Amino acid sequence: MAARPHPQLGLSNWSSYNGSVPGPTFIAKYGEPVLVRFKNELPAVIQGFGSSEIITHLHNASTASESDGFPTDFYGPGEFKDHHYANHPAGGNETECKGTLWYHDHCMDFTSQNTYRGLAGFYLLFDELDTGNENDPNPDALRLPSGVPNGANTQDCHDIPLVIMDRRFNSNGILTMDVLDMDGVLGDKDLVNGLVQPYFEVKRRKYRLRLLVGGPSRFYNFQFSNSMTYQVIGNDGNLLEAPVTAVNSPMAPAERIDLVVDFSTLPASTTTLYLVNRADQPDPRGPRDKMLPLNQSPRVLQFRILPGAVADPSRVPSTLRPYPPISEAELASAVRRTWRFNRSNGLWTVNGRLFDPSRVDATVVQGRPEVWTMSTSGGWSHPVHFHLEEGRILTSNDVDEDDPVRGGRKDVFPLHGGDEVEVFVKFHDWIGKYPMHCHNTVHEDHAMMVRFDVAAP
Amino acid sequence: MVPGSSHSRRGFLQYSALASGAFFINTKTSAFRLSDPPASPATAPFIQRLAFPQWMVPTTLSPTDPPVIPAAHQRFDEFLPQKYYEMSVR
Repeated sequence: MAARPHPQLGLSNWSSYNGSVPGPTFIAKYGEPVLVRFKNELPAVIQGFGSSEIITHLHNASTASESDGFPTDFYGPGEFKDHHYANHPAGGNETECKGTLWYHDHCMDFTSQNTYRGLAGFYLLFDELDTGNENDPNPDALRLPSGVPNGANTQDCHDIPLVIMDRRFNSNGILTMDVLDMDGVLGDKDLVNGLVQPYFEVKRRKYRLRLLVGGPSRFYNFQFSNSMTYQVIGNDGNLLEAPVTAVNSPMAPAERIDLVVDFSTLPASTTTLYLVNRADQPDPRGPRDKMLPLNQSPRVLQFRILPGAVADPSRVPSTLRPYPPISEAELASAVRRTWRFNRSNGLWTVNGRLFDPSRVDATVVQGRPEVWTMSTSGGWSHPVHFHLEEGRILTSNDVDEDDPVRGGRKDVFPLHGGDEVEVFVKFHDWIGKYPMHCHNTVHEDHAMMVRFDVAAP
Repeated sequence: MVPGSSHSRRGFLQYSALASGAFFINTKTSAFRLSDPPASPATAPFIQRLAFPQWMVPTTLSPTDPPVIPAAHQRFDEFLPQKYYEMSVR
């Protein structure tokens, strides 16, 4: 698909889902299983970079192995694969419901290149609590700001998915990627929903912004240019148990932050505002500890604040979704495993080994509690992601275990140099093979990945 | 519709890439970069309206050409699809 992400750039060839970058947005509901047939209609030969072989992963979903997008389940042009998404909360427990998921390519060795070319999109899940209706008369409904844009139809839309991806273009304005750089790839243009530095007109009311860092390698630290506060309501795919007031949100590749910002609190004189990136990341190694000065932070998205007061029936309740409990008995009986994500002789390894899809690095028993200790000892950052389930951080040298945001349910665990994170997880519902990997997808493609199998009890 | 195996070819490509990459970056302390990549052309900020993808639209029926194979999916009968989608990757 040829597309121009900015009028001053050239027409680049992208890979797309249904001719759209990002791909179409799924609006899904718990209790409504779906089947998606992904048809590979890519050309046999991809120009530049990327693969004509694909496999799609629904990130953060509780999905059967055969539909999860294991990296070696790729298939070529002219073929298809059916993915069955049960839209069933893990273990049948409603506290396990999720909201902000995304789908992306996961082809072995080519995840970074294929997603860089555009193979990513949102999959939003709603349920009886997070109903997606700010006017919901059901007293149990959260009534968060609602209305997901459907293409150009943005009327009454206040639930805004935003995928941020950095990209680089050559002197002719054509999308380019250095596939020989095994450290990671950093762009110098920030694209929001596929466009370079767009603007967004907003009314003076509350909006729900679902931020997703699409990768492959850049970390962000988002803040509004006036340092206004907002309410973080979700972390990765999950609502927090209570909203948290924040000024900035550090994010690793594949992480999501779900926030509510109230533009009605702005003075009438404020007509523009920016979402800026305060992360200082000169190379793929990871962000520096110190943030960029606010006035030197790149502007990613401009908000144009429309004049006049408007009605706003939405709200941010003081309680959102309770976390599934973790008992002392579960902690005591948990199987403990250690995963070390390191650079070994210039290669990206887990526990000193490169990914081998035929080697089972761990077999976990369905429903049995596990505590996984993940660490990195080098100077590199690794956002670690495991499939099928999410975990809860028990301890971390980098994160306050009482941190109300990072303490929530997570599927991406950013490790920075010297970090060690202890995560509680239980694998429900499905059996089979799944991967865990660094979500700096360049590292993933260069074998920083393991296979674990879930076995029936 | 997954092909039998392309692992041998991919394995060769992977290990070739790893070996060549290791030649360039074989250091534990610093990333040796051949050169900084050239900068993208300048672009004027905030001249485009934020865009949104369309919602995915379900098809009315289960695919028939060929049909879905329920036995290929765990717990398919327990979670019978209520909506079907066809996504063209192109």
